[in-house]
Amino acid sequence: MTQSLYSLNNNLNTEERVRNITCEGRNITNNPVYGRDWVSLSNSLSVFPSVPVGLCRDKETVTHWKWKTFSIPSRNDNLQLFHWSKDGKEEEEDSFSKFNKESKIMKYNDAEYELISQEPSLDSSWSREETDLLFELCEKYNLRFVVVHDRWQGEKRSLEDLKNRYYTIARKLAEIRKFEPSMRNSVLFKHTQALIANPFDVEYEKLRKEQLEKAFQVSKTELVAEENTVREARQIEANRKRRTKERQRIQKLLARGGDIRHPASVHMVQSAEYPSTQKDASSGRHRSPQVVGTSSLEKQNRKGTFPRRKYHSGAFERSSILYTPVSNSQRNMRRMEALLEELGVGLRPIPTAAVVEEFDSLRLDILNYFEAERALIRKEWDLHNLKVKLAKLRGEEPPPLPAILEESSRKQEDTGAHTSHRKRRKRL
Amino acid sequence: MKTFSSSPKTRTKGATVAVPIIQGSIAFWLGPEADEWHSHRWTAYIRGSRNEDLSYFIRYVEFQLHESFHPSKRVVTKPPFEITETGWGEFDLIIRVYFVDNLESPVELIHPLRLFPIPPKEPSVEEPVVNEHYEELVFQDPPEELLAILRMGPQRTIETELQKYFLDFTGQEAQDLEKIKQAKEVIRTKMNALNDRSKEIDEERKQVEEEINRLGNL
Repeated sequence: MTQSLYSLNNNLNTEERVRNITCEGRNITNNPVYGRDWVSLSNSLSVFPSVPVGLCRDKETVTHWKWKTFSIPSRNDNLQLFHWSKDGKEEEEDSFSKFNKESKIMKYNDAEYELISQEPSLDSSWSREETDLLFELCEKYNLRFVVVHDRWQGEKRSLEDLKNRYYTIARKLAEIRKFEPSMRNSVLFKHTQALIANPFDVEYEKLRKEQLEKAFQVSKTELVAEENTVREARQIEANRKRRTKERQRIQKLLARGGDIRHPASVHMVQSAEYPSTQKDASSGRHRSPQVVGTSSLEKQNRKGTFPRRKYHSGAFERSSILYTPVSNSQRNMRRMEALLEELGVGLRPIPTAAVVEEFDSLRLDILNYFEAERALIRKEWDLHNLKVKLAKLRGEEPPPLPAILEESSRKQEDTGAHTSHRKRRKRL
Repeated sequence: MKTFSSSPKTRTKGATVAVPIIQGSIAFWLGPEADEWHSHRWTAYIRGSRNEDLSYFIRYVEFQLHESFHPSKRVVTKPPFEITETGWGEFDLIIRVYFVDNLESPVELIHPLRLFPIPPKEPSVEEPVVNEHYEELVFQDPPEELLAILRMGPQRTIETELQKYFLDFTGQEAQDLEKIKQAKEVIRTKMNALNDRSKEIDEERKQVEEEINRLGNL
């Protein structure tokens, strides 16, 4: 450890230049780096490393540095400056000179200025002298308008005014100047092309600065409020997107797995594919497919059976019509099923065109029968109530409830007449 | 395999075609010594009503089995459109029929698989349980190509081993029509009875009302 430190010091000592420059006022030439502290530390036990870890470089070669002069290409006053540079390394060009770009400044002559100043669109408050000064400053400070504005003397003008004046004149110049075809590749030509293509928009520039100023002046509370608003807006947008996606997904699912049995997707039956006469019906299954057009007559014939079934393009299985409910009332449908079984028809007769149509008309007949039955029971109740009233007037015992009414009232109790109102609504 | 792609414009408006098919299942009991989980071998199928080859208008048939089968979705691309499996339980098979014309959306049929005979009958090893349903596929405004194919009709018939168990639906339509006709007759008589009773009530009511009015005026 100690050895390495000393060798480092020795190395330093051998370098003449180092002694000349770095040792001044530092007093580290012959002493250990940490002077008195180092001596005391080396004689005592310490839990800390006695030498900074970075200094323990036994085997590494030491780089030699030299104090050299260098040139600055971007200066033209032959200033001589020195810097430390690695020994043996070739002197390269100043790495900063690549940033030393000069822009091409368009210069006008008297004739051109006369021509340009004729333009009515030009700001007339500018004099020739002022313009000359502007162009001079622009050339001197290489179009750094902030500096130009700083050095501006005379009438007070804003930065944008200066910029606007310069670029308007330069653009007009670019428009006036004619270029030889051989000049087409020159930097100046490209510069003029750029000037013509991108006119300076002073209004936009003013607005931009104004907005920047405003943004800079925003207080902390306003900033927080704005951030919150932006966050909320993003949240809303994200939610909207998520919902749209979800909706699309559901629509896709529905389109694929939509139940063909659902009343809305069951199609109108065509009654005319097969002649549904009895004599032909016996050979039911031995018919090959037949094609029939839909005439208006057939449509009329269909009228009055299933108004809510619509004609759709597409394929379906005919038995689906057998399963389509004819009533919204579940109680009716249950009674209907029981009655169909009782009548020996069953729930699924063979689904040929004729049978399906007859089956539908049978089911409608049954539905009508249920309706009529209910109406009759209402009438019976009315009559019974009148009879009770009459008995009261006569001072007699009220007549007994007829059998049919007893039955109907028992049925109502069975289905829970008191609570069924809500249930019925739910079912619908 | 024939495939057709056509734009919606090529639908034939006003035309309707119906193709009779049979959906069915035949189940064999494998006897009392059979594995508890595989007590039956069954075959579910879609066939033509005269055993004709249906592949002239059906591209493929997808059988959706109970979830306990792996895989539960079976696709049959060649006739005969049938699958054979072993199992122990009954369930509803979903059969999706895809047509040669992509424009025509598939038709979904539900077939209840039956393994056990209807109660009075005893399970028997010799006699399989046959459950067949007659069905008609109805095409309304079919695409032109499909219409042409359907018009041409089936090209051939298929022979299968199970053929001897297939049911005959001849005369079924006439029978069912007759049943419906009788049922309608029954309903009509019931309706007439209701109407008669209704008239009676009207008469009775008139008398009662008159009586009440008379007593009320006294």
